[in-house]
Amino acid sequence: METATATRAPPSWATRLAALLQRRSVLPTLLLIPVLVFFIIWNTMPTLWLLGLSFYRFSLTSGRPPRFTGFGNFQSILQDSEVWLALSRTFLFVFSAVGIETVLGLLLGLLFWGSQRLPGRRVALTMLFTPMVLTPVAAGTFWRLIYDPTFGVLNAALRGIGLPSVNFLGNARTAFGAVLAVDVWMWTPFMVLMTLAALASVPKAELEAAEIDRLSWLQRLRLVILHHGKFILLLGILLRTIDAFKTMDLIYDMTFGGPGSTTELVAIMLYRRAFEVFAMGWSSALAVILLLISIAFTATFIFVLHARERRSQDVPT
Amino acid sequence: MSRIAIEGIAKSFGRHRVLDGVTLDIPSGSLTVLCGPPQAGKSVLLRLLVGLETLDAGRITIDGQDLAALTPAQRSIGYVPQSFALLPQMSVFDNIAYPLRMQKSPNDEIRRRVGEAAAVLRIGGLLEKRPDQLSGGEKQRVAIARGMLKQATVFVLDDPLVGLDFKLREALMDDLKDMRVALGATFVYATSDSLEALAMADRLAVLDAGRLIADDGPDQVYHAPPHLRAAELIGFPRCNLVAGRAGGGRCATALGMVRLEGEGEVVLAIRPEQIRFTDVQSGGLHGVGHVALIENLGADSVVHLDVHEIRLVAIPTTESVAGLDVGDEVAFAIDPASLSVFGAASGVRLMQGASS
Repeated sequence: METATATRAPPSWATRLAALLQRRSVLPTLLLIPVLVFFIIWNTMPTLWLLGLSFYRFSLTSGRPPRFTGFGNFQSILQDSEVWLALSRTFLFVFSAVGIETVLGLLLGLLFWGSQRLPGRRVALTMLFTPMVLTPVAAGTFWRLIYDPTFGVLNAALRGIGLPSVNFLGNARTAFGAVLAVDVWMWTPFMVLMTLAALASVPKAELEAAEIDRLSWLQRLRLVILHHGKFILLLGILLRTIDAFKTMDLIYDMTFGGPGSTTELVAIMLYRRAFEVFAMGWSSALAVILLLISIAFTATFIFVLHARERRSQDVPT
Repeated sequence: MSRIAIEGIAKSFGRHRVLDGVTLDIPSGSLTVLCGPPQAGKSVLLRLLVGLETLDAGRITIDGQDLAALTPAQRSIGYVPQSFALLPQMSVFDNIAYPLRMQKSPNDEIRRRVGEAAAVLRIGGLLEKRPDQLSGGEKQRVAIARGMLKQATVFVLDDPLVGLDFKLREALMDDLKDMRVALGATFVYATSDSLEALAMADRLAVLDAGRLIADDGPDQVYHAPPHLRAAELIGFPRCNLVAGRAGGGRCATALGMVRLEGEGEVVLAIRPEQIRFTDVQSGGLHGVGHVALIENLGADSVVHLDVHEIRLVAIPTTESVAGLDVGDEVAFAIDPASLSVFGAASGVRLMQGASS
């Protein structure tokens, strides 16, 4: 009798769970939940909070509760000449950095690609990629030491060849260039990587045929390599643009926007107004504007990618 | 006039010896087919000819001029790789014209010369299309047209028909022969398909594991293969190989005796069409086999026979196949005069044609 009731008893929780997991949609959903929860708590909610805060006047130092001002913060930002200066400085920084990184990355990438059988190539590549894996704050710190006017290695070298030492980061005329140079040093490897990926997508036979058909090196680069590699290169340029626009941690440790405001990019300005002046409402509004600019970059990128798909669908078969 | 002389060339990649002392003479205006199994070194030989690889040893000359000093661009060789390598973003016209355009030739000259090439290759109607709208055969002609504008006197084609369907391949093989006559150029053509090789070649060179094992007219290579591997590689259905032991002027095999000078282990190569189904036994090689399989090829039938421990492949006359069925017993005879005899270890041909 006992055995009979045992078989008729409802299945244990373990077998029911197993049956549930057998169903197609259950397991993927379960696996997605932790990421989704994390994303909502750490990304979506702060963004919404930020958006809400941008409509309030809220200073942490005044001790008064937040007061709704509508578009007041946005109005004050758009009328602030310092914001416009910081924005134009940022665009100058982004275009010079990404421009130099793209050209250098392309040249170095072609160099590495053309020297496949060179001994030591792998070691050189690994060394080249080291800056990219560093934390920007760490890179900023040791570049500040390299640039240091009294005991920095760069000035020691300058003095060694009989030149006067330069306070690279403290001089208003050199600071922007010095910071730019560090960004180039740090992110050129990324463009090398993208160039190598782009080159890997070029059909070898087309390049060889072009060589046999008497095309010069530059003509082969333009007609064959850039044709096949341009989308990967474009992807690299756009990723770098979006990222350079947010540059903050690299500069934070080198100049923190100074001297004066010569290296104050919008991200630095945002940080200062939020955590030095504690103008939380105003800073939130600036953050929202920067977010919109970033979204514009991203939208451009997605548009370009889709333009490629649309074109490939147009071709009649 | 472009006679290509390949003299003792060798090429290794790392430790792998891809070509090992290949000497080959390619007559001017010929269609020479390089045939061999995959990895035999055909593509590498073509790439050396074109200049995409450099020689380890030996030399290649065209009309006496050493190619080593010339870059791929300087050699008057048109190259049609397996993928055709047309630029996908350009029209057919631009694909043919871009080498001229890059050399800044005047526009009316470009148009005239592309028009001429298109007329010879019959692709006049395709000039506005893009490469991905073309069939494999059309792409091949566009790639050849590109070589024509380079004023190439030698065309190198690396297995250009692989992957195309049978009917198209037949049409293209005929086309290619016509094109060669129209262009008066020397064609070097690599393929791993021995039927394609036999159908196209006026000179057939067989490569195996980096060595040249045959170089002759296709009939000679087929009927009197100079090497055991050439007998194996060229021809379909495959050549029958029967082991034998020679000694005292005779050679004993599982199918009987033939007269043969020499000593030691040998291999007899018997083409399928040389096995006749007949009761008349005039000595030599003969026997009775069980039909294991009959394959219908349309005009002919391929009959697989089990004789003792040996599986023979035969293409008998149509009359002798009529009424034949699997499991039947059938008597056959082989004319010893058509045999090729090779050393079992060396693979070298010892004699052509034996007597009973």
